[in-house]
Amino acid sequence: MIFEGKYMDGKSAAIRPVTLHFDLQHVVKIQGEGTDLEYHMREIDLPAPLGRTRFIMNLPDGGRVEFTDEKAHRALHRLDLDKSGMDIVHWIESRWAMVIGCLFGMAGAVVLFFWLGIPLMAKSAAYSLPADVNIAITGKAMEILDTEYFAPSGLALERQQGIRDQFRSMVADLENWDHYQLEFRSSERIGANALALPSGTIVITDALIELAEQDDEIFAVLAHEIAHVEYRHGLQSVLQDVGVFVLISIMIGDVGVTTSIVAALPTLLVTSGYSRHFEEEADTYAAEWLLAQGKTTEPMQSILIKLSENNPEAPFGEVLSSHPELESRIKNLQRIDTR
Amino acid sequence: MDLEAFGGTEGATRNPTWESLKFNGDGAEFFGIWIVNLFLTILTFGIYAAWAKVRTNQYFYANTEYKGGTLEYLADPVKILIGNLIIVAFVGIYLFSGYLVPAIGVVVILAFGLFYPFLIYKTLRFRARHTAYRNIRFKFSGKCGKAYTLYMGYMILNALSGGLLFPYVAYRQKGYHYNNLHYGNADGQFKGDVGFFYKAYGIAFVVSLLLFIAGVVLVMVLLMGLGIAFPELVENPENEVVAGIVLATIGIGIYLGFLFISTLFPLYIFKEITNHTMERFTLGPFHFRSHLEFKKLLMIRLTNTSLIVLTLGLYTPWAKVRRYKYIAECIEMLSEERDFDEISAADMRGEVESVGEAAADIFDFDIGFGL
Ligand SMILES: [Zn+2]
Repeated sequence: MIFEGKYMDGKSAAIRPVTLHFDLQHVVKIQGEGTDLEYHMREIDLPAPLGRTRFIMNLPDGGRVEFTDEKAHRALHRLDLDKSGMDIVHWIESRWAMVIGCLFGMAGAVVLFFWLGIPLMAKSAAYSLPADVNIAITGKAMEILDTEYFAPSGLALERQQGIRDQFRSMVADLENWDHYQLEFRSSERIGANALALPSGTIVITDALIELAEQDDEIFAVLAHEIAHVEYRHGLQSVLQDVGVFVLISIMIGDVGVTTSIVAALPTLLVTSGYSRHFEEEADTYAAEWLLAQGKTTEPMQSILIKLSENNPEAPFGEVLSSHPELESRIKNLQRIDTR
Repeated sequence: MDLEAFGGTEGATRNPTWESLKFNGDGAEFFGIWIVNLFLTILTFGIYAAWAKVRTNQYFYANTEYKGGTLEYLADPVKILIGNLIIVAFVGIYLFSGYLVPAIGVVVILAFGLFYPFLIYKTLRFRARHTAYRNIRFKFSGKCGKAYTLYMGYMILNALSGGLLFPYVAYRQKGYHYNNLHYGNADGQFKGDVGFFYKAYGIAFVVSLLLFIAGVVLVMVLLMGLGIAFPELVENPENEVVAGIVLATIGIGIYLGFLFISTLFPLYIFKEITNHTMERFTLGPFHFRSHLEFKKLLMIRLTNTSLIVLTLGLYTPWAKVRRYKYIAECIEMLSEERDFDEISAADMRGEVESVGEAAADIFDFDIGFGL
């Protein structure tokens, strides 16, 4: 086979037009003005092609031949003994069906990673960090809440003490039992609600206690909040946010600094979906506590329904937020009952 | 001087011609390479990133043509992988130790600051060594100590001077990059004008400042105007939602406005300094010039950014190709074929590690031919 190429010897920057021959003995001859070379195929390195750019032959003495003859490249490639993996990469890159397959594969991998990978990694990271990190991320949240949302509780002290005693017994067997603290507050802005800070401080509002028709409803809510602390949901959320942010930054970072600022936007959209899983996890914990007391999950269900009627838009998204979510949470509880 | 060593060995008159670089790549083709790169990088948990980087650079280099020869990117992906792993380990140690003992984080940052000029020096060496044209490699011969003077000593002095020294430092840094660049046995020489750097940075600074002030005034007038025109918007709490939407719109407007202003400064500097540097740079017998236009650079930036956002990033390969093609084809080089016969390969002893290369990826240094 005969084809044309450009020879550059690697000693000077001159380009020499050459004619190349190769035969079935795997010998390549390079001939041109002042050039007459001969190599065996096994001495020649034939890098994988790249797009529609020229083909290359790297010669053992640092010389290099560039050529564009596709047929010649195919024939040489067939004889090449050490084919590199990059040839396969080029084969994929130059076929539209494969490229589109990669695009969908990648989209799938990214979605899978957002849905499973990041939550799993956040979970294992949250549990491997020392418990004090939970206190660090809580910061001065309680002070801010007290000035922004809460007023002191109007609940009778004996009633407070009764609930607190029950609360103490609920956390007594937990490893970090001494981190837990129960606070009573009243709040016009958030109405009947309860919330847990990662440090272990749990707040319950007077309105919620009034709303409850039986004490088990209150305890079910407390168990739910304890689960948020115990499962480190706050820390997991922070780590998930960081993970999503890093991933999106990496994906967009390829483009340039300007657009990476846009990365903050989708972060907010994606992470709001995570908490639903945490809520169900906390519900399950509360349900299991109720079952362990020889009860059904009925108190948890009834307080959830009452809260949704009483407080259609919960400001923290805590305890519950929307109706379809309420239905799935009730179903989850019923499933636990029939288990 | 130099010209004689390269030019008339036979005493003939030189007859060099100007020709611009040509970029032959296209967005659709690069899209395939880009997607496969991303896919394999995700599939291999980032290990393929080193190969992806080499392949991307090779694509852009190999498509950059000048008088029948193309650029080549010759870095070994395995070395880049090692560099990436070192960087990842470094960042990992930083993040992890920062959680346990916050003070360690500060120490690591300080250590990195001490390391930074060394990384720049390494990057410049690595980039030059692994770039070739017509099978002759480039070389960077700058000294590591000089990098410390320019990227640490002068930067500290600049901070003390309240930024007044910055154009001078930028000028000296360009000199460091280009005076130490060699193509085979052809030596780079940069005869820049520090006054030009002061003029460019001065204009960019003053105009940005004026635009910024104008923006602030405009926003204030707009807000006051709204308050006067729709007083019920401010007073009536029922209109909270409407007021929220109006404020959010204004907020996004302000954000985009300042984003726009903040892109003008670097683009203008890039255009001015690249044109100037090319004009004042010679590489042995070769002369350069560049005619980048601010308006075109800005148009490319704006359309690229909008299309990338609108297509959720899928336009990225086209955007990269478009920008690179424009910049490359604005650069012209003066040469004649005989000059290339006279270029001979330089001594290439001394290993170059890849830590710098990986770092360059993270910090995106503006080096090389300003591309
Ligand atoms: Zn909850």
